[in-house]
Amino acid sequence: MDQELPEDEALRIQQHVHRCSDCRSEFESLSYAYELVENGISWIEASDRIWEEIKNEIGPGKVVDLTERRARRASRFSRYWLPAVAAAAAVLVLALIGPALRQNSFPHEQRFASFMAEREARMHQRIEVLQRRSLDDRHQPRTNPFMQPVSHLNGNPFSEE
Amino acid sequence: MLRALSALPLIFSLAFGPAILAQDDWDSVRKIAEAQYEIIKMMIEKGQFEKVPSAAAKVFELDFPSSKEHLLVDAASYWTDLLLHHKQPAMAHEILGSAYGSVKLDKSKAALCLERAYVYKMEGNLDAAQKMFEKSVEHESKAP
Repeated sequence: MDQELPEDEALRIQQHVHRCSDCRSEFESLSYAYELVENGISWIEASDRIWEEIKNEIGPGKVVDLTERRARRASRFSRYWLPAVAAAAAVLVLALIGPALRQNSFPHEQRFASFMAEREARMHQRIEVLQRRSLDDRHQPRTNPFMQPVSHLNGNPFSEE
Repeated sequence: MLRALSALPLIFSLAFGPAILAQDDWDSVRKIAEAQYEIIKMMIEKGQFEKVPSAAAKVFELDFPSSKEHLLVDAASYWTDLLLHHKQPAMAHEILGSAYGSVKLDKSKAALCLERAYVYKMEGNLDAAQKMFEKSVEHESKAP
């Protein structure tokens, strides 16, 4: 079949195959198999009868329908794993691009931070002045009740400059 | 010559009269604001917060010239500090909102927005603080 034998021996075998029906049947079967392989057929669908025979040999209850099992597995994945994987991916994406998005959405980050720090310091200073001044007032005798209060010290912006 | 001299007071009053009058007007406005400022400060210190908005409105309703608007902003800023010190951020927002409605200059509006941004920040509302800061920047860009 593979043209590997010497010519005279190949001829002798050919004559035998022609005469012997068993060898001829074997040869035809092999030739068919060779032909299938050469034509690139990688999968041969077994007939229902073969599957029935295999099932009978294995025994009842031990054969599982693979199509059903695959469908069940796919449904389990889509029900439990797919949302979990999607959520994890979303969290990862947010963690990666979140800070960049935030920075883009608020371009005055630095000015904002420095204003807030300065403003908070000013507030503490004002409150401190106010508290200190009320304490001073309590101890300071008022000599002239008609005296105009030096209120600008107390933060009054409307006092005369 | 005598006629010319007698006309001098008239000429003087016509030339400088409006300025003197405006100065008098401003002085009376300033005095009212000064007194009202102290009253509001005392109200806050005594915890009479519910009286503060109407008392502050009396200051904001005064006819402030544009050149003196910064004083209104300063007053609102000071009251804001006192109100925050007494844990009254909602009241601070109310006062700053009234002040915002009473000023005309973008510069003053920008400063008041900054004050509100600060109040939001102190409340822990960073998003609102940033939005208010952006509003302040917008006003600032419009200011001459």
